Amino acid sequence: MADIVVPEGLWDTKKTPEGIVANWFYADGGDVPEGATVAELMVEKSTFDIPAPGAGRLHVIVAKDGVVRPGTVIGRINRV
Amino acid sequence: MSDIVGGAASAASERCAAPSAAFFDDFKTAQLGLHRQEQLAEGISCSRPHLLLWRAPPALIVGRSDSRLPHFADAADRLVAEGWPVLIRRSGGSACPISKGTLQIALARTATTEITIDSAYTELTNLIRTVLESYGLKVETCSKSSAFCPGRYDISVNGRKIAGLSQHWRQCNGHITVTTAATMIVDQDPEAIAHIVNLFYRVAGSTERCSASAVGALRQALPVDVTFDAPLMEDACNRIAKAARAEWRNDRRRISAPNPLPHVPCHTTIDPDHGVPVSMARF
Repeated sequence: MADIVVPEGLWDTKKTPEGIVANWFYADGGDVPEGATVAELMVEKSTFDIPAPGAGRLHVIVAKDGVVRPGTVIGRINRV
Repeated sequence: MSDIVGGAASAASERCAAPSAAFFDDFKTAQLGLHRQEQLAEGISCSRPHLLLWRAPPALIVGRSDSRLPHFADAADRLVAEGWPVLIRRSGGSACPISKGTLQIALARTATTEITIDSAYTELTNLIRTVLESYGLKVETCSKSSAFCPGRYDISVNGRKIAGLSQHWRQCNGHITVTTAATMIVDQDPEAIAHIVNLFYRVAGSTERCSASAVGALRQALPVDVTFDAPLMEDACNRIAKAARAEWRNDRRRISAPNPLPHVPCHTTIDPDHGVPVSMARF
């Protein structure tokens, strides 16, 4: 099992407290290859591709348009 | 583009081939230019940034959220009829018109631990500010909410937005990279910019609007006694190259920018399934 985490320190939360999950590119419960771009975050006008930390089945924790901060676990890859 | 030797950022990689900086002026379509920009990070394997300057025929480049507006397809068709095909970009933000009167500036680098969203924005903002100030202009950096694609790093002169920035972070060749991109209005009528943005949003079903009085152009902002030896667009590109060299001359993360920038004929071909204008493919 591997957590999909918003990188710590990606943005200055004093200036922009939160971002959002702009897109999930795989369905909840779908199989994801390691390294594939599995989600996209948006912080102001910056988009950030989130790669899958391992291969397995995706479990979405924060849905599309959900609010995130650095360190938030947005999903999980469960090995099958 | 010059070849970049693969490998992690390290002392050895500082000796990797110099990244290129060039002005692409011959893109037949904005789609080709946008594709080139979005591939800019592909060749990065060490800590030096790549600088790309380009311009292209008219297009309206929108963000993914714009593509989910209720009547987006209708808006895209309408804009094609007006001569402004709609393209969806990977970086954030909202609708941004580009044309032969705007200069696209993209800076791509590997994101080492000290690189953040704000530091990458500040890097390109400072470069553009330096160029505008070299013309004797007084520059502000703050959000212009009534201009197109507003953002905290909007660059304004005389209260009018002249440049806007957006970013895309992705993993390339085992490295996290960030491409910060700017549209600088050099010689485009602000009224035309506002018209196209407002037409798109009106047809697409959004209340977003752009006020022409919030948008400026470098040509209009220049003091009357400023002179330059080349057409304004070329002069602006050469000043960007000069500012980039000065900015990174004593920095290990250096960019190699020839003086003046070479005009590079565009021989790029693209995968027809990648970045096809919305008017040609239904999403």
